[in-house]
This record gives sequence, C-alpha cells and structure tokens, in this order.
Amino acid sequence: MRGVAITGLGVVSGLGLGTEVHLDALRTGRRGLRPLSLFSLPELPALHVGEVDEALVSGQHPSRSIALALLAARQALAHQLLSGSGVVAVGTTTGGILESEQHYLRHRGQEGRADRELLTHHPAGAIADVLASELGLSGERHTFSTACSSSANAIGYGAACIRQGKPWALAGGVDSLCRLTYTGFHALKLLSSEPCRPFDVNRSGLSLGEGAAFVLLEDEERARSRGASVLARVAGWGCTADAHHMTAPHPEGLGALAAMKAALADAGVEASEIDYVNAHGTATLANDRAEGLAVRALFQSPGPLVSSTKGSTGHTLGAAGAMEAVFCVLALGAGFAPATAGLSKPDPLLSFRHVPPGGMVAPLRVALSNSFGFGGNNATLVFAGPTQ
Amino acid sequence: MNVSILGLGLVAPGVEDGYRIRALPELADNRAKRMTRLERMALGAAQRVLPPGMETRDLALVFGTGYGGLASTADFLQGIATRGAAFGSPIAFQQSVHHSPAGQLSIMLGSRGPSLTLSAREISGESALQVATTLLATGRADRVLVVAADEWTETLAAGYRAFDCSAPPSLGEGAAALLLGKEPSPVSVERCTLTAHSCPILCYPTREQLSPLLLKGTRPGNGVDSVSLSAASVAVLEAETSVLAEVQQTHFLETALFGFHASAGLLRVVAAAMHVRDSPAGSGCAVHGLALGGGQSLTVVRHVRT
Repeated sequence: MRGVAITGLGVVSGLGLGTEVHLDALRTGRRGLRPLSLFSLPELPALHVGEVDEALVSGQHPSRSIALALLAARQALAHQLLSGSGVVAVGTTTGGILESEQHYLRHRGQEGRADRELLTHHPAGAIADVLASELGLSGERHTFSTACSSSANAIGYGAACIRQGKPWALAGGVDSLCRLTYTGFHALKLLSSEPCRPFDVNRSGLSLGEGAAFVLLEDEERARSRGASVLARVAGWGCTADAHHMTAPHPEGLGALAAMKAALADAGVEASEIDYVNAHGTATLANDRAEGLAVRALFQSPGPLVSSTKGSTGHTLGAAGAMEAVFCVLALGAGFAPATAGLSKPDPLLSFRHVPPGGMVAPLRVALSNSFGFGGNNATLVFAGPTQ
Repeated sequence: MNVSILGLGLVAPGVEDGYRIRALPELADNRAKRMTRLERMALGAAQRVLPPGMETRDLALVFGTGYGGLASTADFLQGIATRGAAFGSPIAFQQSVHHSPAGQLSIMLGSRGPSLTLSAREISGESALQVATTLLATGRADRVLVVAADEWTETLAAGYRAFDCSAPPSLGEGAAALLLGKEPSPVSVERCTLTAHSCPILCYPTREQLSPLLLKGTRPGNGVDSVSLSAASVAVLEAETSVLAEVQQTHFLETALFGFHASAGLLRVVAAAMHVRDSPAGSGCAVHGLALGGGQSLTVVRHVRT
C-alpha cells in the first residue's frame, strides 16, 4: 500500500493533553464535555462544550488558538529540529477570533487602539506564521480554511507534498471556542441542550469543542535514517464539493460518498479492506442521516466498525479532522476501536455497524476518517497501520 | 512544473476609484442576488475565465482569501451586540465562514471536484495558486479554477489604522481568477514558489531574508523580462528594487493600481499573464509577493513558444 509515514502525533482537547491521555479516555469512555466557562453570555445557557483546561493553556500565548496549536505541534515534533524546507499546513475555521471579537464587541469596528493587541492574531494565516517561527520550521506555509474539514484537507495536502518530494510536513489544525461560533451555531439551532449523542435516536444537536492536533509526516527514507518509528501512514485523501447547499449536506450524502471513493482510489484500497470508520458524526440529524446513507452505499453489509469521537471531544470544527486523524492512528496502533460516547439507542435509520459500548479490541489494519463542512465541503482520509 | 493558463479574469477597481470597486460585475444568475459583496466579486472574476458551455462538473476549485467574509463577521457580531447573544443572524454566520465564497461558487457552477480555501495573509492568492498547481501535478484534477478575493471593509481599515506602522495608504479590494489546465496554451505558470521566514507577526521579511528567492527567480538567464513588485511598504519597495538592481532587473510591471489587499498578489499574477501574452513569445514575468509574519512567494508566468 502506498502511503506517507506519520512519525509524530500531538493533540489537546477537552479530554486533556497528549496521546496517552486521549487513548485512555477513548478506552474508558471518559468524556471531555462540561458546561462552558471560557466566557459567559447573559442570554444563553452555558451548554456542555469540550473546553480545554485553563491550566494547560495558561501562559502559552496571548492567542488561545495559537496556544493550543503550539501545545499540539510541540508534541508532534517531540523536540526534534526539522532541517530542510518542508511544509507547515494548518487547518482552522476562525483563527484568532476569540480575541478579535472582543475588540469588535468593545469598539464596534472602530480603531480601539487601547485594545489593538486583541487584533494582532486575527488573520487565519497568523497561526502558521507563529508556529513556524516558534518551532524553527522553514518552508512553505499554507492555511486551509474549509470550515469543519479544514485540518483533514491540511493533512491530505501535507501528504501530497511528501509524495511530491518534500522532506517533511507538519500538518494539522486548531480552533478555539469563541462567541462567534457559540452564538452562530445557536442561531442555526444546531446546539444540543445536553452532551451530544451522535447517531442516537434521541440526539438533539452538536456540542462544540476546541483543541488542536498535528501530525508529523515524513519521507520514509528520512524517517528511517533518523531512526524514527512509523506510527501509521496517510494512505489516501479525497476531497469533493456537494454543489448542493451552503449549510445542509446533500440529503443522500452524494458528496460524502464521492470523497470516500476518491480517498479509497488514492490509497489503492477496496472498501472491503476498511476496518474502522471514524465518522464525521456531529450528532445533527441532517449530518447523521446523510453520512449514514453514504456509508451504507459504499460498504457491503456488515461493513466496517463505525464510531464518532465527537461525543468525547465535542465538535472542534477546524481541528476536528486532525484530531480524528490522531484518533485513527491511535486506534490502529492499539488495535482498539473507540465507541461513540453518548450513544445509547442507535437511530434505526442508520445501518452502521456501531462500535459496541466500551469500545472493541480488534486487529485494525486500515481506517477511514470523514470530515464535512459548511459550503458542502467533504474530506476523507485513509490511514494504514504501520505494518501494512 | 509547467501549468497552462486557459483563462484570466479580474474584478479590479478603476483608475479613479481609489482602490475600491464602485460597481460590482453584473451577474446573470438570479441566485447571485442573495450573495455577499465578497462572494459576488469572486463569482464575477470566475465567470470571466470560464468559456460558455464549459463542463464544470469535475472542475477543482481553489479559493484564496486573507480575511474572508469579514463584513459578514462584523454584521454578525453587531447583531449579537445589539439584539443579544441569542439573536445572531444565521445568514451572516454562514457568510462569515472563509469557505463561503468557494461553497457558493461550487453551487453556482455545479462543480463537485476538490474544493479548497486557502488563507495566507497578504499572499493568500499565491497560496491558492500553489495548491492548485499541486492538485494538477498529482493528478487530482485536470482543470482547476483558482480564485482569490478580498474586500475593503471599514472594520479592516480601522484595524490597520490602529497599528500606525502597518497602515497602508492604498488599502483596496479586488478579485482575480485563473483557469489552469495541462493542455498546451500560449501562457503558462512556469513556477509558483512559496517560502517563509522567521519574522515578527506584524513585520515583513527583511531585505536579507527576501533576497535569495527574489534573486534566484529573476537572475539573468532565467528569461524574466519584467517583475511585478510586492511594494507592500516603502521599506519593502526599497529592499526589492535594491536587490533587483544587483541583477540589472529594472523593468517593473505597473500594478500598483490594484492597491494593497490580501488577494492583490493574484491580481498582479493575472496582470503579468496578460502582459506576457501580449509580449513576444518567450517573454517571462516574475511576480513577487510578501506577507506580514514572514511569507514570501515568487510566481513566474511565461509566453510559451509554440
């Protein structure tokens, strides 16, 4: 199987910091959702969100998104200095808006010089700039901002660059909680009043989350020559547009199906070889149903094990694709498929082979991860275990 | 890498308009009436490069924007500030997403190929162009529509004014589009190189930092007859001209009228491609881009000998 070596992982979310903490939480079913405390909005309830522990972020950087990105990226690099000219690919939806929205709300679009520092890291591209400068990385910097598929596309692109001859790529994504997305998803009536329940017949919407995740991708020879372990491989990337509606997925999941097919073709694997699917699984009715139809159309019964880890982390928007990429690598490495936290009574209209409660120990060789976003954007990544 | 340019489109301010677009392009499709200004600019540029009747189902789309739907973001925040947090506008929220113009384009064109949005501060258009060439080179698409757009908003202008040091006098707006493919055509993107330097977040690369890529792309023997400068600030302009003097490059393409904005680089690439198309075969133009925070790009377009 063709594939690009993954030699480093980093992740921070409402579950904590680091791969061990996350794998342990996925094994035990611990959830990272608690009532929002990062900011208060008088007219709205503090719903359950995947909020990162303040002690982890404190003192890292004035921009919360950059602080989260630095935490995860440092782990993925594990103190190595990367020589040569590589690629930094960051996925993000809102970048530094947590700070710049405070400037706007105070000054309503005027100069507000006294608070201008709040604007410094507003541009989405600033995250990659700070990461590269702080971590001493040289090469091209790209910021993918395709809503909730942002960081899946960043990883897919990073892998494409390695295949094209780049020595390394640091790829992943980040989004912090902010008023814009909290009130925006409320306006769309998509927020769940309780911790989210993906694929459950009693689901009532999504829970937001925040965090960052990065993978280090390397040319295989380079990885071997420095004695690095190959944790897994990015085997395929598929990216499509629904061309249907700005906020609703195609009702039959045609764009999602096309993205999965494109990723399988890119990886050179058959659908029957997929052992585990980390679904987009936001717990909104429209997404669950569309993804359900797409998965059913692709896989013959009984199909692969399927779960959504958004019940554990919340929906981390631009970070979700990278976070779930890290979870796929952990699942392949541990031979363990995590269950969908919050799922107790499966929606009978979804014919998934759900991972049973408590997760499932199973030899996993190939995993597929879906990420879909606003604007009808679909991204799928295929991961292969290190020995495939 | 040699990528054919099959179409060029601009939505740019006129000479007398002070870097701002006074009249948006007429759009035939009624659905466009519900679009934001930024989305209409992007669609206007895109429509200029697509031949009538072209099959767009498998077209890949790469959109570049530095600030995305900032006007919609401000509208949304204004709404929750005045009406309360429970009463945000769902429409403004979805239009605030950077990918919104790309989503609208894919719906309007019926394109179901790869669809990406790139943001890289003042070289957002070049980032999109570079990613588009990778999609072509790796066989993920046979044709890619690259569009970049940024709009002037009062919020953005105030933000620049708040930092006196980086307030550009010519803050403007515009959109550019290129249709790229593999079949032969008279004008090609010979290369689009991105790099970056360790830089404070509100500073451009220094002369020493920007010099190697600029020299490599423009030295004699490369067949580059003219250069489009970033000219992002007076200091940057001085650095660029002094570096180019070393290789006796003194023919600069006049593209300052596009003003300063995060997508201006792709407008300059389009202008450079138009320039070489009208020049003798073999002519090449290098477009230099710089971004606050350390980004640098160099794009070479050429009139190919056929």
